[in-house]
Amino acid sequence: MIKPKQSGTQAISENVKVSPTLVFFLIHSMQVGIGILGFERYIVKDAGYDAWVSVLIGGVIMHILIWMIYHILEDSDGDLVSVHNDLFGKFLGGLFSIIFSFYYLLLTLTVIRTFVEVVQVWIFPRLNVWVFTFLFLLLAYYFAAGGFRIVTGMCLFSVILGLPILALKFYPIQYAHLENLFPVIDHTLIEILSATKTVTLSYLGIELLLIYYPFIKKPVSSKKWAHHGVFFTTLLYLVTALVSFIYYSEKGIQGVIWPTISLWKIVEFPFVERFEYVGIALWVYVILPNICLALWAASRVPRRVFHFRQRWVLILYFIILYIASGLLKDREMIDTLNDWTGKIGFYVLLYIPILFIIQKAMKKARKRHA
Amino acid sequence: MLKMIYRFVPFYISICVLAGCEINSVEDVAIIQIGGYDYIDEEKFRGTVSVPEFSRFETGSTTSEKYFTATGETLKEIHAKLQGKSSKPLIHGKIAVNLYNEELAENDISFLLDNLMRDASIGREVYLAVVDGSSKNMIETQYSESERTARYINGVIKNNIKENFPTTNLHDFSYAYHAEGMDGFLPLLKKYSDHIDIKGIAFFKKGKFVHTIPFSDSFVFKVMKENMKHGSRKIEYEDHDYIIENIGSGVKYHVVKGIEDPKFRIEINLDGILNETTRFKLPSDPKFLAKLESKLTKDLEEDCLNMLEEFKEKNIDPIGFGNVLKSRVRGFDYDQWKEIYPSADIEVDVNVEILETGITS
Repeated sequence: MIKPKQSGTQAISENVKVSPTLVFFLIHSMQVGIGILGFERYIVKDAGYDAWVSVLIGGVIMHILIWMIYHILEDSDGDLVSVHNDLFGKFLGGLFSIIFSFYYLLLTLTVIRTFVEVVQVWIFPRLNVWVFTFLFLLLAYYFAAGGFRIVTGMCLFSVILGLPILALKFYPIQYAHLENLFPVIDHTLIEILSATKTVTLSYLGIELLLIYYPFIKKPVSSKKWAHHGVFFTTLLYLVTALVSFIYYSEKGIQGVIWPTISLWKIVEFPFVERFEYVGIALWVYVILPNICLALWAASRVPRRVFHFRQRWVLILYFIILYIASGLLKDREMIDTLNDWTGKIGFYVLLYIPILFIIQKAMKKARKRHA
Repeated sequence: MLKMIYRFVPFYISICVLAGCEINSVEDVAIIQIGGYDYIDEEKFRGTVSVPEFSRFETGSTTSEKYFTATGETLKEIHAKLQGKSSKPLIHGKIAVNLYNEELAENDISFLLDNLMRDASIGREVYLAVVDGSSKNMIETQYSESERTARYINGVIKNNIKENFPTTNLHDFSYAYHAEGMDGFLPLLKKYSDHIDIKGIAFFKKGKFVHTIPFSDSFVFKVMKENMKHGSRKIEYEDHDYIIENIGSGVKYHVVKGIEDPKFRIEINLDGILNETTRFKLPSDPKFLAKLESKLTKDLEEDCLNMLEEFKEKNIDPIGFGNVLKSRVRGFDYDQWKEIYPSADIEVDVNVEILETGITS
């Protein structure tokens, strides 16, 4: 018989934990990243200008998933690795955990390569990807190696630095064609749901909670902050989608690869002619915690499973990321990468309710046998 | 201590190297501020650009410009040829005005628009304009002692957008270009020996210039197209002329009947003040202002209807009725609308209110 709670959770000392309030920033900053720059175009392809409904539905689903994740983790009182060990035993559980590690790595790769592409297309077409990714990864490595508290600090900074950019939505609103949004819900439920599936790529990031949960002080009180974080993300996406919808025509937006960045083109200050350069530069702060947190989570899993030193895993992943992002050459490959990450991410999110049900069923079964 | 340094090394390296960027001094590049394209034949067209020249000595005159012209079959070819004539790299990130001559515009400017939209370095507040005559000629003339041509043309358009000319820029034009049930328009410029005039509005069907109205009618078009706060309009009433200055007008589109037999009603509410008249005093008739209001209402309604009739004849929809209909009815079918548009029934309902008559009676 498997004994419950035999998960091998190492005690995490109090001084590396973070306060529950910071979960807001951890959740929000991980969700907002590269997706927000261009998700409008993809959801419009599915559901036209009714896609903002999908954004809301996506947000609601994320709330449910957060609720499930907390249930899963509270029951096992550890992280994803201990849950897997509990439910599937050491070998199968370990395998599942490692799959998650690779998924986080894929997430990191997608974010970093897509951002480098944005820099290539918008600012430096002749950018040397090898050199730039190396330096960028070095920075990410520096933060990730610093430990979870450092990464959390980075998330806090990113949210604060990213917020003022939101005020610039004022400029495109001056060109608003409000009639674009009407008639409301002129698409079938199927179309709206398929846009919801597309929008999940932009909402990815809550599944990292599965790894950093043990690092939260008084995890129960962090619940509400996690929900606040998701709510804020939903709000942000809703505003972004609505502003883009009233600024572009429905046919026009489908020809714009990064609607949010193109939107910045209309921003005009007396001292900055072209705001998008500033915007993209500021976006580094939004991207960086994405990369750091995902990299940290990816390297945390092998440490928990195989008890490797996290630093060596980090270095290994650094090399993998470096080579992989250098080898991804053009728009087509990066688009495919994003597509795949979206698909895999969708299944990872789908896995959470399954895990939730399995755990609840196991618990019941154990109770009956006990 | 050593450990501390070791830990910070990657941080410093990234900071130093990531912060470096390409350095382009203004003196080392030629900044294109205005570009113009002329039609030559079916395949070829001619591009002209002007770049400001900064003098090495502070002579006071800063308006010297250099012009480059090249012909080719594609934009890239022209750019390469222009580049070959310049001693400094030509940069087009600060381009403010793009001109197309009438013949070129009649032959579709979609490919030029695509280039503007695709290039990451081009802003969205660029003015596009159609030129009656040669755009090369327009660019290569100096109009003002203190202003460069690009700035001058930019100023002419910007200034008129505040008054009688409807709002236009690259974003607006491309919005209409891509939208279903809306067609774009651009200012039509004409060059005189020492100045440039807005001759009228050039209306487009997709990328093709198909129709024009004189500048004197642009007030009528603007009140139908957007809410405005400036502009003025003349009324002829009982042998005298009265100028009504618009201090705020709003337009609303109503869909009376749906797609099967479309019927629209345009409601225009205009508040104005009377600020000029050719007679010395206004008559003491207490109903005079009301009469003036109804005259202006009648004039405007007539002009609007005539203009809309012309649009329907040319099968263009610059007001965007298709776009309006799309937002009001479910299951809008663009192809069906295209067939029906020329026979659509449009009513215009103008309400004029003259609020003040100035400081003399």
